[in-house]
Amino acid sequence: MSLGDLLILYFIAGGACAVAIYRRAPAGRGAVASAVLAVPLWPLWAPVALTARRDRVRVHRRPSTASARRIEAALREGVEACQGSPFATLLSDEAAERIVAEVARTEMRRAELDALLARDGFELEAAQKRVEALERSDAVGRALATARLHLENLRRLHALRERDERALEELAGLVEALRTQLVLARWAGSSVEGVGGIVSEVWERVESLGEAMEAEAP
Amino acid sequence: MSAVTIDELLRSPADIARRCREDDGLRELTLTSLAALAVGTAAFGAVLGTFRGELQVVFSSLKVPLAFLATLALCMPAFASIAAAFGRPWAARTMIALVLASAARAALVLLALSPILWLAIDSGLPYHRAVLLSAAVYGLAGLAALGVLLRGLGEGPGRALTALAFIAVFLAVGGQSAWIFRPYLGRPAQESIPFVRDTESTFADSIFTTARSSVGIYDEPEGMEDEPGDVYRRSAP
Repeated sequence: MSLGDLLILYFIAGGACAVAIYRRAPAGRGAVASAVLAVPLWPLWAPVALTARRDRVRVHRRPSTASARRIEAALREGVEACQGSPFATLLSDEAAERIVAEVARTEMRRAELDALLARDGFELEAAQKRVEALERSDAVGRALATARLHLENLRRLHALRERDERALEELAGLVEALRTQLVLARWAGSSVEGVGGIVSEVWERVESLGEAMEAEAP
Repeated sequence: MSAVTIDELLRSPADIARRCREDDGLRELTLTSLAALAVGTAAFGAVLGTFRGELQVVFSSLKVPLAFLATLALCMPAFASIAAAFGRPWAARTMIALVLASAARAALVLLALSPILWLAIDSGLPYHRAVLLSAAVYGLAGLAALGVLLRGLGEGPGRALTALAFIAVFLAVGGQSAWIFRPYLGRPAQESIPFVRDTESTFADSIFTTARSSVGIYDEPEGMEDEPGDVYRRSAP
């Protein structure tokens, strides 16, 4: 095979990478430039460009809470521990991305709830005092019912916020346990079944995060 | 190309290493590294070409980046395998970003030192001294690259062995790549300026022959015009 043949094969591979990169990238000039760059530099650029989605998650939506940071760090280490092992299918890059995305959605909702509950008129203590005051004054009818409804709604909002916080905390602990299990499995050769149990539990928790949001969505 | 990342490459190799390990903004880091690599090595190549001047400046400014990028592309699978073998089973993108960032730092050092080399060449530095000075500049750039690479490999067992294996692979592949793309300086006496020289032996053959010559064993056919053992002169970079 001559140098010319090698170059032709090289650029065919580069062209294929360019098409793949263009199809995966969001439309725009950046997509074209990224694809063109892959033609001569595909061995160096294609692996990075084809997995660019993670950059966007990490750069623009960095975890803000301790739980979310713990989850992301543990997932990253877990995925690294899985690579090249029989457990690779249990916790793939894509699966980790999905969990991170779900955690980010929960975080976003919690941040919105925090902002809402910090506004005037949403203080739980004030609402409680108003109901007590109305009850003491023997108020009847619409005023007391409205105050009780307002208090009940605030309690539900606080409960939602606390539930999200608790769910993230529990998920963080579980993902850290999974990470440790995967690292142990890699170095000590534990069974796939042992790891599979924790993976299933993690997914159940992640699904419950998503279900909670769907149930509460208007 | 991000000025912030360029600044980080030069001043904060530890931050760059952390970004690579934590998979943080690797796309932007990779693009900036590629741009720095292209600019730095092209400038260094152009300065090398000023020794002969004319078309050699253009050829060398193309060939040095080509040789550098080809070396990195060829080395990457070996780097990934070595890192995995020594307990660092990283994703391909992490390895690529770390190696490119290291190479980009080296290229920026080449860019920074190019004016000194240019001044030396312009002051009439003889051919072999120009080659030695270029090699010294290249060596300094390599040390700068090591600053990122070693931090990127992180603490833990096998770090030094991994780095040594990386260097060995890079030198072997880089040596051959550079050999294929010769000449870079060119001789003023040359009438024509070829883009690359005709194929003659390999980098490893040359090292082997030179080593034998250094201990007095000469493999030259009789009747050659060169002095015995002066293999380097016939295969000058």
